[in-house]
Amino acid sequence: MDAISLNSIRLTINEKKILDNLTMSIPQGSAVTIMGPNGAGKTTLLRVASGLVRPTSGEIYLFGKKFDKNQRLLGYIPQNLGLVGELDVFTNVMIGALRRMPRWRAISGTYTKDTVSEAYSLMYDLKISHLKDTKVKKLSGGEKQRVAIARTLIQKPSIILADEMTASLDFKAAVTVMDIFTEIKEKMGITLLMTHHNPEIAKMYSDNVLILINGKIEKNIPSKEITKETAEYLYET
Amino acid sequence: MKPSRFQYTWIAIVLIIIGSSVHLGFNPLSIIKDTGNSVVIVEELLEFDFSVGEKVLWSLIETLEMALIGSSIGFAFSIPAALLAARNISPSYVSAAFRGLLGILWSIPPLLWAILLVVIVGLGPTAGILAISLYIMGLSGKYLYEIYESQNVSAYDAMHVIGATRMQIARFVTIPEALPHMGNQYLFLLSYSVRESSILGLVGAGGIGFYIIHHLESLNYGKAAPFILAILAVTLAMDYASTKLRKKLVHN
Ligand SMILES: Nc1ncnc2c1ncn2[C@@H]1O[C@H](COP(=O)(O)OP(=O)(O)O)[C@@H](O)[C@H]1O
Ligand SMILES: [Mg+2]
Repeated sequence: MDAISLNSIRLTINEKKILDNLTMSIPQGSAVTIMGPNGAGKTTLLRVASGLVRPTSGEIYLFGKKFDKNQRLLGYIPQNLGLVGELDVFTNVMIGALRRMPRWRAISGTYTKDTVSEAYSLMYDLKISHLKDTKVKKLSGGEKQRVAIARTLIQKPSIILADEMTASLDFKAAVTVMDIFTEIKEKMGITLLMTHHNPEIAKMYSDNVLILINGKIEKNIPSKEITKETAEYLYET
Repeated sequence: MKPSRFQYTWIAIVLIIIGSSVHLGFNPLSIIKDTGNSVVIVEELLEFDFSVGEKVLWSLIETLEMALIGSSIGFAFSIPAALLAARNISPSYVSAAFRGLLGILWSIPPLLWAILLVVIVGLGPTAGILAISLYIMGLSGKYLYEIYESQNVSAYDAMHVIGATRMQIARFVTIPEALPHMGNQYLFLLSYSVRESSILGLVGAGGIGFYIIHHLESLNYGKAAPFILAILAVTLAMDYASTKLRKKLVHN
């Protein structure tokens, strides 16, 4: 079954075609990376899939059902992560669980024991327990990534959309983060739709790579077949 | 060489200034022409009459209290008002309404507010405190919604996908991210209000200004002088202290 499918998605802003009759589907449990030159529409595609931007036309299906915000199947890690720098790591993680608790609990900060222990075990898995009281703005790039992952996982999503999540990291730090992320993703059976700039990272952590150019999917390549030429082709077009 | 657009702009500004001066019959030399008067006033001001000492102290304290209460009330109300005015948090009709409200509060100067409020609540510091509160709410509110709206968009995106409510977004993103600016903002408003509340006495809304206008109008320049000196000293001291404190806040 497809976890997410986009059907003839078009998005036009000021008469500019940003997404152009885009159709694609991501099988449940798989990891797919979208690659393409700057301005190709990768971020926009994820924003449409997450429900942040309404397409001009076309439909989105999640597990065969028409997209509905209230299903809460999606986790989203935006470009730049979208963490709250002035809050500590623990609170940033709890933000992901806001929807799962009564509103007064969220506002007053009196979280239930269950959600608190979930947050602790996620922070443990992601090796950020020791940072739980540290303000996020003081963390390194790799630590911030892990906070963003924990905040998304505590939502218990079936699908995670992650935009350039390793962009600010060097290769070694990127591998460390992606190793942990992939392990948890496998354990929880999550479907992953990502964008990456580094072809090496894309190859290592995804089943398939979709090549997006000018708002269109040009190619769908099994990641094993990614070569130096693919990367060159991408960044010269 | 052809004058640039920049040069034209400056030439136009200078012409407008000269035109306006002619229109108003303004002559900058008149202060020198009437030196006689200036010398007399300065001489009389310098004959400090310290018999008013106690009144200086009490009216100065009243002025500071007015500023403290007024700016705190105005600042406190500006925080939620700015949330309602911010386009990235509130629905567009709500934000339009609150932008209008803050704009009105801000565009009427404290002295005008004081005149209106003296009519409504009567003479005395209550009118002055309310005048400061309303103006400061407008001033601070306008500043704060600009801060709110310039915050990192991706944090808001993440909150929307999570399904957070507007209240939750305000509580977990907007306010915490704005907090470091708010300490600075409050100190600035406080010292600003001291200056403002020192003139509200002119219209009977409390504070030290009352004595200044009273003694000036009865031509007792020597008695007015200690009050003016007191304002000068306090304003400079506040400015110095708040600059120091703000530097400290920035470093934390
Ligand atoms: N809100 C917007 N208004 C106008 N143009 C936009 C908007 N968002 C994105 N775009 C345009 O859409 C194109 C794709 O942008 P983006 O999705 O950020 O590309 P990528 O993530 O692949 O670099 C760019 O040309 C960008 O300028
Ligand atoms: Mg992008």
